Formats: sequence, structure tokens, C-alpha cells
Amino acid sequence: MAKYYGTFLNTLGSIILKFHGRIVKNIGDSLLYYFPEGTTQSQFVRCLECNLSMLQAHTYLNSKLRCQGLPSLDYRVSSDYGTVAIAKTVLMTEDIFGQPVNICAKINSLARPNSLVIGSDFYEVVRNLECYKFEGIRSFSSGLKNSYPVYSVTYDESKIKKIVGKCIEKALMQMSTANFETVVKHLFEKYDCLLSDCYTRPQCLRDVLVDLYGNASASIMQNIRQQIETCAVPRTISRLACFEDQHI
Amino acid sequence: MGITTYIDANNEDVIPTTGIGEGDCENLVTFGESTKKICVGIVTS
Repeated sequence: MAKYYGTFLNTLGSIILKFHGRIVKNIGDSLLYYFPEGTTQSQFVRCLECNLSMLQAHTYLNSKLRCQGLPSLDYRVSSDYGTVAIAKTVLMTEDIFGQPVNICAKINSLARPNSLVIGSDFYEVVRNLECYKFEGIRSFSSGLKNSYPVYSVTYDESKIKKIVGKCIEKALMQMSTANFETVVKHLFEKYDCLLSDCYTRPQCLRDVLVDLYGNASASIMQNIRQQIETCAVPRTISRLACFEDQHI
Repeated sequence: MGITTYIDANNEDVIPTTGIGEGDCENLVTFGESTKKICVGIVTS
């Protein structure tokens, strides 16, 4: 049992740390964490990305458990935003108190297995972010806040496709209009693939660039990747892994 | 290791569950001046 929860908590804990989150404590089979500076958009994105990355690690985590002869598990993630008091315990560890913490704990059970829910206060500061899809699930009622709306969060695949397509277009246009048109033509003729389709079929773009430009394709792919990062497309989209150097 | 606490879902009380003897609870936590607007998260299996 200790190994089981140790693997679960440590795997997800390492993801939280990777996104510069701070783990307060484990509460049984739960982890409570927060993001120290929470008033800028990049911090909101970091929190959402961390939460979604933990969900994307579901398959990896379960394969890790299976390797140890342990059964697979499902989990739920919840987040909220607001004023929190940070306290020091007698052992000089940190603890957090406040309405967002209480609500976060209570809305967790509203998430479907392996999904993310956020409270209304968090939703209000991230609702206009591209790349994410927010869906109202149901309101939560408590003595603290009556009818507090709760939203599920997923990636907005269609928006991400468009953004990735525009990033590729921009990177290719920086080379020249002729290069851009050549790549688009080859992509379509050889693979029936549009630029926006390269999000789900990145290997098509890679193959076309290698065919057209040989070794120089590596630096072109690097430019495309930088362009995508500039557009703040979530870094954790596994489909874009082939844009990483080691895959070229 | 910190003090293990349990947030009661029904009454929001924070109940110390380990390591604290009777009479110690008065100084269980110390609140500083700072409150922050931050994002918090919980993941539960």
C-alpha cells in the first residue's frame, strides 16, 4: 500500500515541482499544492498546465504501477483561485488556509475520473485564454458561497490546431513566400495535409521539410518550435514532441 | 515531515491528527501578516 501511494504521490508531486508549484502536504491519498505568485496570466497558465500535465501522466503512471505489480488507479484534479493565508506550523512547515482551499477540496469530487475542475473565481481569470475549453458542469453550494459555479477544463484541440498552423505559416514566411508556398503545396499533394493538420500529423511536415531541405530542415523545425512557444501554446502537448531536437 | 492535518469537508475545521499533545494546540500554527491571491490545487485518487 505504501509503495502504491508512494508511486502515485511522488510521480504527481514531481510534475507539480516541474511547474514551480509548491506542495503543502499530502492528505491521505491527496496532494495539496499552490503556486506562490498567482496574479499574472503566466502563473494561471502554469497552474492549468500543471493540472493538465498530471492528467496526461495517467497512462505513464499506470504503466509504472503495473511494472511494480500494482493495480492501476484513476484520479481527479481541482483548482481554485483567491486569497489564502499562509501559516507556519510548529514544525516550521507551511500550511495554507482560506476559502479557495476549502472550495478546492469540496469541488474535487465533482470532477470525472482523470479530469480537471476549477471554481468560478479561477474561471473568471482564465476564461479568455486560448487553447482551453471550459464547460460549466454544475454549481456547488455550501455555507461559504451559495451556488458557486464549477467548470471542467480540457484542451481546445480545434483552437490549438489553428494556432499551430499560423505559427508554422509565420516561420515559413520568414524564410520566403516561395518557401512557404512550396511547403504548403507539397504537404497537400503528398499527404492531403493542411498546415493546421500538422498539429495532429507533425510527421508529415517533418517529412516534407526533410525532402525539400535535407539537413537544413532541422533549423527550420527549430524556428517553428520557437514560434509555437512564442504563441504560448501549451508546452505539454505530447503531439508536438517531434518538434523537439532529439526527434528530428 | 510536517504535521498531518485533515480538512473536514463538512465544517471546515482543521483538525490536527498526529504529533500534537493536549495543550499544544494553542501554538499549532502561526499566521503571518501575509495573505496572497494564489492558485491552489488538489489531486486525489
